[in-house]
Amino acid sequence: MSVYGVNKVCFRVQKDPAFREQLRTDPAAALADFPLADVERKALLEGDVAMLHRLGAHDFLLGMLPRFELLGLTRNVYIERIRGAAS
Amino acid sequence: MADVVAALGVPHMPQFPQMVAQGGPDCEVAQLWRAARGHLDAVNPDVLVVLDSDHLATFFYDNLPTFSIGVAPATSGPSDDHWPLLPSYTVQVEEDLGRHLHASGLEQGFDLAQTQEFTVDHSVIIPLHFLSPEMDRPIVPAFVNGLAPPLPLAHRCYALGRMLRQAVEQWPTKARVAFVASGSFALEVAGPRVADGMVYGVPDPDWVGHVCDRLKRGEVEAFLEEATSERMLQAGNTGGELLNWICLLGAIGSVRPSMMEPQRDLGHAFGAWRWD
Repeated sequence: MSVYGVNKVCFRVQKDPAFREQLRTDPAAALADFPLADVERKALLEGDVAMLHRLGAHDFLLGMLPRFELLGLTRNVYIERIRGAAS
Repeated sequence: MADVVAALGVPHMPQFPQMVAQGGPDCEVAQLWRAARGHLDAVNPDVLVVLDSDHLATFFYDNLPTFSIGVAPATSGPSDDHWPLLPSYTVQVEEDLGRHLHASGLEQGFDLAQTQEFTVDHSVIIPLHFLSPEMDRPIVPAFVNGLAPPLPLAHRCYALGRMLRQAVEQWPTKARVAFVASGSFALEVAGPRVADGMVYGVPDPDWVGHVCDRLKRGEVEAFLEEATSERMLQAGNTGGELLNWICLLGAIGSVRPSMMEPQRDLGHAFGAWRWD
């Protein structure tokens, strides 16, 4: 498992407004064609950024999700959850 | 032949324009940028070689260079986001110097990548916004991967800086050139060590003072030994941006800084070296 797919989802969020809107309105469909392991897909859909961090996703790219308030992640929810990944 | 007239090291927090708007012209951030700009204006360079780490906005894991030179007529940014009070700019690129630096690197054994069409993120635009806001000085970006581990070695970045300096001095155009390194020393952005309620944090402020001491005293060998990837990233997930400063050190040689002002609680410093 490379987490490439997770990083790619977040990169697309940064670069592609149409994808961003699809992820907002129908997250499961927006993620359908990405190369994601089950655990990655589940963590994305649940906005579990602590898990995504632990899986190796890049923090800056994860930070794109709350910037656009996607997958249930407001700024404050993101901060609280990502801080939970501190070892 | 071109002359290297100054080297500056600066941070690039995208919150700076807001901090200055809220704190006014006498706040510390505003004063530090004014001082750094004063050093640059005093030597009035024609071209800026910007040592920078892309924040996964220009490059991505589908094609991620460790070192890359921008070779194009112009660029624009910030490409990563719209930051409050930070305008979008078009920036001229000194294409001929970029091509020369890329080719010189290959001749000297540095297998540099090049990019002929690229944007730049806030880490290039913030320094230009404060140091050269008329955007009348063309740039050449030299991208160093300091943000997507695995990172290059400090020794290699130092050698790259030394090579770039020599290459600038062999560029057959009469021009005054300054190097600008962009980066923090100890900053966590969007990672587990952000401060409570904040999108960033400073996990290791002591590292800031230590780095500044090394830079002030010119303790290059000891600094290169201790600036391992592990040590830099211990100071924050942007800690590898220090590699841009290390590259700058290679370009500087033995000159001592005219300015080295830490902002410990923000995880960075402002530095200037001059040859006038």
